[in-house]
Amino acid sequence: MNEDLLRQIVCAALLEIAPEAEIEKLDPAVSFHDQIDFDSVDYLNLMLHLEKVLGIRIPDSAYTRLSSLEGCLAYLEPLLADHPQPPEET
Amino acid sequence: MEPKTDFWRTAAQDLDGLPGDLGLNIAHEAVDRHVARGAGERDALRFIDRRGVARTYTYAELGRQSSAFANVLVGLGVRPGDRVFALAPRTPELYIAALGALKARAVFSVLFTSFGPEPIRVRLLKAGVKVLVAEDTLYQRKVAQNRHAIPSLRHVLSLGALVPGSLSFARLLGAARDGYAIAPTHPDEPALIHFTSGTTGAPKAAVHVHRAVIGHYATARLALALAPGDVYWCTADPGWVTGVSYGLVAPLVCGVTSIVDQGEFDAERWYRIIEQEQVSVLYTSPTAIRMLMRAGPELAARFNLRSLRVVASVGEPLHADAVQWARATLGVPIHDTWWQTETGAIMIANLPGRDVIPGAMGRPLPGVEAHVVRRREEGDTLHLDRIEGADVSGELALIPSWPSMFRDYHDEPERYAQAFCDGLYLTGDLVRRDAGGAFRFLGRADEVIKSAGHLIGPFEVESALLAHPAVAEAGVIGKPHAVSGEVTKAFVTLKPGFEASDSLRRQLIGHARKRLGPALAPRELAFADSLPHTKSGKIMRRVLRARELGLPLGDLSASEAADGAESDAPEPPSVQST
Repeated sequence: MNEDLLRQIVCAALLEIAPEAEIEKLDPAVSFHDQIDFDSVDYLNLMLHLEKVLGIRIPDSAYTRLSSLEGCLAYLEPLLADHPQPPEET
Repeated sequence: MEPKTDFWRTAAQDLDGLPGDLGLNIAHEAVDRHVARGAGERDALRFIDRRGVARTYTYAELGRQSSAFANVLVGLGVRPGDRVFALAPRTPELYIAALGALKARAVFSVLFTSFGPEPIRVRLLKAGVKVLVAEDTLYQRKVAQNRHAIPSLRHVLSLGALVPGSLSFARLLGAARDGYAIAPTHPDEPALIHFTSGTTGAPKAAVHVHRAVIGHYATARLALALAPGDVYWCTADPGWVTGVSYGLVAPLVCGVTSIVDQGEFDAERWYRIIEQEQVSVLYTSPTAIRMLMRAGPELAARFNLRSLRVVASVGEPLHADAVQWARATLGVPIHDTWWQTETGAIMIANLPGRDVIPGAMGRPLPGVEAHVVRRREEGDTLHLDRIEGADVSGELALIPSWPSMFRDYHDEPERYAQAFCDGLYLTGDLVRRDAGGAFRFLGRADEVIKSAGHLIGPFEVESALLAHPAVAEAGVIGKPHAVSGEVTKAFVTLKPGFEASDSLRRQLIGHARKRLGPALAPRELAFADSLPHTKSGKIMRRVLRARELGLPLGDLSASEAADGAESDAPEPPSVQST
């Protein structure tokens, strides 16, 4: 999957949980917690949402690596190398 | 029966009181007395930053810095009883500000940093706050736009960069003398405010007094088994009562070394901290425990957790499977404890050293007399019937005779009076008492929501939704959630001209999150054509909840048991989810 598509998927997941987020203003390197007040339930929901949309299993130990946009991309990209096409979003 | 005051009287003898018999001050018991007794070089607080780097404060250092801050406050014209609040992450400055404010005999409170601007505005206004210690970015994001609407707020002391209209906390602290003699403090002087929520109306500001320190000390010794030499970690945020009673006051009064983690939740990080810091007593929440359980036993097995002597939990019921998991994974069971913002300290617990009763809150502490009651109305007067015997259910009520009991809801004497009846404090929690005298939590008698250990008042959430131009009516309920106990779900009806859509659903959730912050905002939202009302026009949240959970409408869950008042029949159901 190319990075642009993955970025779009992550941003869509983010907006599902925090629709108020101004995606274009987010600093990709700074945690969602520091920018849009993400709390632990939000992180958990983000993880579950990405699992569903991407059709993958994310272990809880990866939790903190998904704490920023950059972190999400860096973690998910290699994982999706075998998944050229994401499943349809339901 | 006489109130069980001997337990507290004995505990009070372990405390020193202000030198010269000048009263009782929490900050003196927490810090200065250890220094006076020659333990000033002992480690008091160990802050672990996000990178894992530790910064330790000794009791002596904490004493000096908090004295300097007391001098800062006096210099700013703060008088005893004035409200000094903080809005900051778990930095040393937050703890220094708390202890300094207590030394200056101000009334101190911490605002939860995940609150949005609206709950913060409401709380600052309600308490008539004079001085706010705030991290610069949090202030700019959450307070600056409302500052003009909080006329009592005279000074903002900024942690970090100077923001318009603020003074530098660091500069003031650096210039202040670090010696401060605490003025005579009556044990019944207000010391702390903790906010909590009811079903209706704005949040309540529960006022606690300096005498509460006896309760913090005695319960930490007994229910957490804290003793000098312990490395103790309370994971609660200081923005909630546990983070102050047991994250700040109790460990310091007990003279232990207390860990303050500045990172976000991360199971691996938590295990590493326990191993590296040799944590012996851990006080946490069922939500955090469920997140550790999700992370799996393999992760826990990579760490040496043998330093753990006591693990305790608070905030919501702890299920039996968590107790079993802890035995297998942490090597010790989890001791559930029960208490409330109003009680200020642990009231009911599975005490360390005794058998844990899985799934139960435990038994009342020796200084606590607990009853199971049923409310009975005679005309306009409320009476309580005490239900005696084993295996009985009803509302938990306590004889208010312990030192950390709240003394007021700030500026709301009527609401305060309503919390008592026939000499008992009504907790609003429904319980069952078994034959052995152990209590089990059944549910709330009212409609407040317990999410991740936080009490959420539906009224505060509904008010935020109603501020959106599309919303005609809103009803908010707690929906069971596998990790956080409950999550908030909102049902809304729309004003004419607005159509239910997925985009509007997101807009409303976003609107609520922006105002309230994620801890209070609904995680889910559904549109309805109409909401069920009583004949008097009140939204029947319990009907919404019954429908959501698929309960028969006649069976409106445990909450029915304690509230026969709302007997009006519901209107026909009409909820649709999108």
